[in-house]
Amino acid sequence: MTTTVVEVWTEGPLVRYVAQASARLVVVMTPAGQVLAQHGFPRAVDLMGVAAIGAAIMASSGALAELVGEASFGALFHAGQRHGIHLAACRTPRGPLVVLTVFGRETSIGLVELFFDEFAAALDAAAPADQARGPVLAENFEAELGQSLASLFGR
Amino acid sequence: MADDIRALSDVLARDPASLVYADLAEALRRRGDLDQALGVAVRGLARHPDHADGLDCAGRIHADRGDLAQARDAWGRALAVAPAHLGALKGMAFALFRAGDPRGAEALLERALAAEPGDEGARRALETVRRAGAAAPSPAEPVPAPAPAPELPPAVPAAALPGAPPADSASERPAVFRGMEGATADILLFDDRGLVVAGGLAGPQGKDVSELAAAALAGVSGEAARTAQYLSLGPWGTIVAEAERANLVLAPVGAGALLLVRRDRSVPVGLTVRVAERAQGAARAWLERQGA
Amino acid sequence: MSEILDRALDRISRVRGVRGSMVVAADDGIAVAQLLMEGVNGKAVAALAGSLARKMGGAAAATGAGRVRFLQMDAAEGTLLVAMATRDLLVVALADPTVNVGLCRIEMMRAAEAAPR
Repeated sequence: MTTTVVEVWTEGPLVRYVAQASARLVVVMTPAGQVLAQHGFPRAVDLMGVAAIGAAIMASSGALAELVGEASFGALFHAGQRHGIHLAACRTPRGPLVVLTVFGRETSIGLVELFFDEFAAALDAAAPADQARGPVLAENFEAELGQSLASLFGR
Repeated sequence: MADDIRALSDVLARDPASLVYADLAEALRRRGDLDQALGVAVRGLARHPDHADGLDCAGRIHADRGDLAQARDAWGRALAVAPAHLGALKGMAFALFRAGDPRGAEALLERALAAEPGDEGARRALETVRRAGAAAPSPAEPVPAPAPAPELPPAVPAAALPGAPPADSASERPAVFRGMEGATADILLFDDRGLVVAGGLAGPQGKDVSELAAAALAGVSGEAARTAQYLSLGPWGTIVAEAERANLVLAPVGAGALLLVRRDRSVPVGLTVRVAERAQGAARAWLERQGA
Repeated sequence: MSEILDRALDRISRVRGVRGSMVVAADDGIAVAQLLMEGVNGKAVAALAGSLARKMGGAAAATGAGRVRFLQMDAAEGTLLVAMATRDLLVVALADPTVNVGLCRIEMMRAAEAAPR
């Protein structure tokens, strides 16, 4: 099972999180959907799709929170027959990140949530503070997304 | 199907660590290429020894090859990782039924339905097991259609999975617990990788279930260690489980070894714990003599 | 329902040495009711107790012992107790190593019987 990262500081926390939570798939991305690290995806096209959808769900969730008067919602959890999805944001000195986790019946949402808290803290601690991420402009979005996918899949 | 196999092979060739090995092995199995399927599964499991889906697939391949003992071992390891894995529950139920243990098969199929109430294959299989008794089981998906199975020897033979040493029957293992009640049927010494060292555990029909139990219990030990660490409880000492048909005591024996004692429900739990302490002492002394 | 569970957890927590008690959704490892002392990480207890119970359940089935009804893990500095209420719910208690396990077990099994089916 492969773990690949675009930003090196994410690797240690991600490897630990995957082992603790027994996650099958993990994507660490910006709110715009740019992938910083991933675990378990065999194909770029799958990762691209998941990152885009995950970012969109978080954006919709944020808009819904505003409508009902919440600053933000916490984690989102979907339970399937054989898999579950956990989607949550975390703060780092490099800016906010979104983490999507897909897990199977060998673990539980309780364990994923428990170790996600540790993962978020580890990312916050590991992120270099001196290079804050700038806003992703619409015209740069696809180029940056493509660049990160190329790094992740060794092309 | 040929296109699927080709596409999956391409993915695996680009990334040998990909989990698609399980899908590829399954596709090859369905096509009847059992040798190739087994090769793919074994190589994949060498990288991912705790991958429940891969272990389940290996179980199906072994069953198709007529090797029920190997199939049981693979499904047992799958259940140790993922106790509610539907495929492994159904596969193990099939293997138990073929081995003449319909009660064991029924229990597993009930668990399968508890995990996935809508699974029609498990429901049909359960009806068959309950109805038939001695009749052959109907092939519930993904369990293959019944083929003539070889006569099962009393011992469970060696696992095909990488790293596992040959298995011995209870009577061939070191007599560490000689003189204790249940020395070869209710007391098991094994290591934290899930491999049997001494003693033995007999299943409901008297068949040796030591390997299956050792694999499952090693997973419990790992979980106990993690739980104790995260909850700041210090090192764990014993786990006592009161179950429907028996009480179990699980305890570590030095570094890397574990002990299970099983007693009927009629034996007070406190007494079972005392028996386990005695067995622990015997195991420790024996391991020291082996230089372990 | 919550009143019944709260009363049951209160009885468990009155046993000397119990640091916390909870009712946990077995498959999810999430607490549905809890009564914890200060400093007890309920999220961790629920998730890890659920996982331990699941793994022990699989192992017990592998040994032919059948379905687990009660589980006790003794450690150097504490004890974790789990009673299976239904297929979906667990009653969990975290206690000191010196807790009267017998008494705690009685209260937990009572709570397990009172849990909604």
